[in-house]
Amino acid sequence: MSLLEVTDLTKHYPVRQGIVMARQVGTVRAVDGVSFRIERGETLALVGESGCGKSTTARLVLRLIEPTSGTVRFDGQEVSGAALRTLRRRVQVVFQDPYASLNPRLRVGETIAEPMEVHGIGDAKSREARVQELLRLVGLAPFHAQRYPHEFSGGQRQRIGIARALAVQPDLIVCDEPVSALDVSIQAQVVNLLKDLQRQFGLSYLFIAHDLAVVRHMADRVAVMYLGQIVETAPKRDLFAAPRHPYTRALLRAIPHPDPRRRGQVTPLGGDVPSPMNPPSGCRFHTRCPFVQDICRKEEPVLRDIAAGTRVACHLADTLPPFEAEIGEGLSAVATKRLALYAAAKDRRASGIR
Amino acid sequence: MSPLLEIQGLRTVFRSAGGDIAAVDGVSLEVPRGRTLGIVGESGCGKSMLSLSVMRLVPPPGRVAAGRVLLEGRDLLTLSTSEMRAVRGGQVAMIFQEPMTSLNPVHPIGLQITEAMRAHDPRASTAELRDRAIAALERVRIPAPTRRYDEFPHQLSGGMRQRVMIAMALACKPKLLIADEPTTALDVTVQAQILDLLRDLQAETGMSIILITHDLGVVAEMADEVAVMYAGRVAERASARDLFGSPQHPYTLGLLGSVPRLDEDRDRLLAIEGAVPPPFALPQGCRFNPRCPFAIEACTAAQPPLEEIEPGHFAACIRAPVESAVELAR
Repeated sequence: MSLLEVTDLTKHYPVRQGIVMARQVGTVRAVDGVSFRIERGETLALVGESGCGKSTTARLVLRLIEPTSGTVRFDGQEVSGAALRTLRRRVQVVFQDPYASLNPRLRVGETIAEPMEVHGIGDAKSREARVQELLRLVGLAPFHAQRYPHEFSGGQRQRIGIARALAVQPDLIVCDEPVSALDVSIQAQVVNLLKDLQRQFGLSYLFIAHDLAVVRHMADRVAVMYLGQIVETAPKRDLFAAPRHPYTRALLRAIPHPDPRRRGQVTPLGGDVPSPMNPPSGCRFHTRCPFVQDICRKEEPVLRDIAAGTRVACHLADTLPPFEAEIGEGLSAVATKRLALYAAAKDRRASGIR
Repeated sequence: MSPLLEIQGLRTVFRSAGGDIAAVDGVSLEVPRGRTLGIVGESGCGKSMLSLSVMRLVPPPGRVAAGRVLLEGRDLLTLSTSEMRAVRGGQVAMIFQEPMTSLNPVHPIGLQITEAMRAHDPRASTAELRDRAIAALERVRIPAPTRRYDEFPHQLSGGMRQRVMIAMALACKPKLLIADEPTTALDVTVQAQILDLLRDLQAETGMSIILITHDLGVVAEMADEVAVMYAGRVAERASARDLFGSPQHPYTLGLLGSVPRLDEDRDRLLAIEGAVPPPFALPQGCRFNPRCPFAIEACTAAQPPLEEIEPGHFAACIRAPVESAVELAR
């Protein structure tokens, strides 16, 4: 049994015009029939560009908003009524903006203890001990409990957000772009921390991100969204080595590599994302797809199994030319050697030997 | 051929109760003609303040305290206000990260482009300016430019707005374009379109570009020369090929190790410990020393000068190259 099972989830927002005699003039299909599962200890990444519905999906999973239709089953139970209370404890969230997601008037200790108070876990004394433990877990010091959020940097605030999420021992943490607001050196610290915590506590993550390199580093499985629908889902290795959907390919080709020897391999995808109020007929990607055929404009492709663990919503998935993965040479030999020296020197410092 | 722009010993300070705080502290750089200089660094490294100093747009109470900014030999810092105004948007233009806040929401975009053109060419007729603005929109590959001319910023997508900003910036055919994180707010597919456009326009016009970014991928894709900045100073400077092929400064190594790569599996990222120090609490000696795994006593004594380690490759680190530093310790 999967830890989380999402079936045919939709969220439509009515668009109204007029003030007194408001009438509905359209529907924004923010999430339109999304299904996926997350196993225990697994990280599923939900990727896509802005407006594709990935954050709305996260909010639906958390029940911060009500779905128009579809079901969310957590640990075998459909989430509604009394089950919602359990979900609220066992599913936690880490938000994107560490500046907006902490209450500036609460001490960090109070912020981290709040979920335990809400769920009636422990007494004041045991909660305090737990806060100290959590701060150490995320790489902060116990005395930080007395400080206020403004005294911390962005990376440290994100650590506080993670400590708060861990406080009630959740099974699943929804991470909504947890590192995209951070500088690269800090981003790496937080990504490492999330991976360490997953190993230590067997956590599952629903990892929402737009940065495919970070996703490749974090995820076990990846689901790619476009205009409110999942267009491809596959184990990480398969998705990056042999992406099936033209949109996934376009996303991968658009990323510039940190390697000047690979300059010029970036291929831009033409056009803009169409409006979710008036999505294209047939396949929603057909307006920008380089492989488009007549059938794509008429019939909507369903998400179908195409290989073990891989599902694609594309009429032409079987006939597309193989993806020429432009495998880079990686870092130069000199750079690799120096990075290894850097890592070794860092480990020596960390263990206190100079 | 002499470089288009030479920055020499630039120092930009902010006045505070405890004395002057330097956001840019002794930076020297060159921008070759027709080429792209990438400036990389994390927030707070002074990269944006550097570009604002070149444009003489440092917000008060900040000011440029020392140095020279030579555009084809002419020091921009000594120009009168009106002479500088002619340079801005004329010879040097700038685009910013946030195309929404850089455009005026209550005016159609056509008007905003012609406004800039009129400032530099007051005698041109309205009809002529309109034609030129439509041509400018066409040049940045905006579909149906005649219709877009009368549209407002909110009617455009983020990528289209950045195209409008580029059209405005290039309206007076500048020799230098300063692009401060031009694609940071955009999706990857749109970023790829904008980078492609910038490269084509550079080939067309022969302009130089200063590209400021925190994204090593964007730098590797676009820049000919790269300067890595840390806490207001240049830590390392080299051609893009040399910088990625033979990174010297430990900070550059840390940045390269922090970035997850699409072509490599690594279990853990090589993060840099700690955070960038704020300009009012800089460490003694080398500014990177508290975070540097190779730091020794001498690193806390004095600021290391930017030295040529390989031909054309400069690094401000007494421990570089790091393999010799490690061998010495053995």
